Amino acid sequence: MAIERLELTNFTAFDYLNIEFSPGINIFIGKNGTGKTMLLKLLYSVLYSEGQVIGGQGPLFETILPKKEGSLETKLIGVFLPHQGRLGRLVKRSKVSSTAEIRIYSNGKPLTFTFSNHSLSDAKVQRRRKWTKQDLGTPVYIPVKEMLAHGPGLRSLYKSRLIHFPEIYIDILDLAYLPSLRGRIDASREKLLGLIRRTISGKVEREDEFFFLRMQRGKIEFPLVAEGMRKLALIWLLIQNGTLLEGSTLFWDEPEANLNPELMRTVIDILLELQRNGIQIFLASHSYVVLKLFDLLKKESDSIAFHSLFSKRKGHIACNSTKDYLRIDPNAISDTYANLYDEDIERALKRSK
Amino acid sequence: MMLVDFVVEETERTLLIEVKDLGKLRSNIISNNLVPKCRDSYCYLHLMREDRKKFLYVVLILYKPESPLLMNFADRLRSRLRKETDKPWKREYVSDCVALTSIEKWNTYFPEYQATAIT
Repeated sequence: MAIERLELTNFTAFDYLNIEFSPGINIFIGKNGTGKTMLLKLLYSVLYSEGQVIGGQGPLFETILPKKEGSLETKLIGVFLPHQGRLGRLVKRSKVSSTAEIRIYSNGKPLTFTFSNHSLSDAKVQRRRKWTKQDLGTPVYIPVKEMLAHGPGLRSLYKSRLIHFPEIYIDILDLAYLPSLRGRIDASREKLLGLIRRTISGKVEREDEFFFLRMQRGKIEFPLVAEGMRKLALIWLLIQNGTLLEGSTLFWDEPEANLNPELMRTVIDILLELQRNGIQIFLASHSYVVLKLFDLLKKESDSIAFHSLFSKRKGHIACNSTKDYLRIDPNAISDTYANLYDEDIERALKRSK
Repeated sequence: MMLVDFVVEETERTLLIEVKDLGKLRSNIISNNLVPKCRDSYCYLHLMREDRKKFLYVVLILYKPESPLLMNFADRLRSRLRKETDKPWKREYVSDCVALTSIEKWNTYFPEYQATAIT
């Protein structure tokens, strides 16, 4: 499956937005507050909850989630954590009450949700036209903060207590704790696993709820492993246990967080390879290095789209999409460097007088 | 000696100007070319007692890298001008350096010396 298009009306920061996606890699860029993470979370929530209703493909739906347990309301609330669990607070705020409409296309078929902020009571999501099982693979959301080191006890705590913690953090742990997939590992997965093993100089092992990095000099408990390495270890687990397989969708918020730019090359190599294996990917990034590495490392056959979110006029966010790195407009990251460059010249000229 | 293309003596400072077009760009251009040219030009002027004013090193590269890479280029050039061996130079012989990437940029920052590209 691949999400082809998203059309939004009155959702969170957006009045109206219509974005065509690449079946490969989609990179959201934009200043803080332009809604990049909102879009990742929304798409993730929809895939997750629809998969629960329909029974999607992949280990998430086949192993972890019983069919027809969830709903989009509960998932959106769990992921976005609106105050007092009121879904209506995700409708774009205005002086009059209004309705949010979300339309997502997969395999040419639209899926439409609406909910409003008309009353204080719980808003209900109206769903029109269902996708089929073939339209849904496992959605994976990797949050900015690495969670494997905090896994022990957190999942059970979350299940038994009402704690104010976005569900994305718990969901990724559910997937990371899945046991390895049976059967032979195919060549493309083995290639990726080997690349990560070499980068992290070891492999990941689990004892009960505790993760360790097994290296030549012994095994190291995860809280003592660098956060950047733990992120790669997470990808290793998700590939090894069959979560990141053809048809699944990966959402990764700021992959650059806690990673040295040198390590980013490995991450981009992995993402490109996952895309070549049929995994659709959505990223949000503030990093010039991330963008430039995609530009340098992509092959002709790779499918990458850059989506630049920007504030067009007060309170109105728009998006320009392009497949060409040099046509990203506006490019908030590059513009910042351009301004720094100009300032740098000005300072040098002043110093010489 | 490797010397810069132009030396312009102004009232308050001396400009050392090096022009590079895309065809002449080589790897390690900073260490192998741009820094030796600046250093040797300074040495020459120093030995000729022409070093009483501040020096500004201006590199005009007729090539358009992206701003972040250019920022990094200017910083690497600056750093190499100050330290070429295991110890940094005791004397900061140029007050600073700038890397400009187009005739337009040159004309913006040095309007008194309007430049035109001759092909």
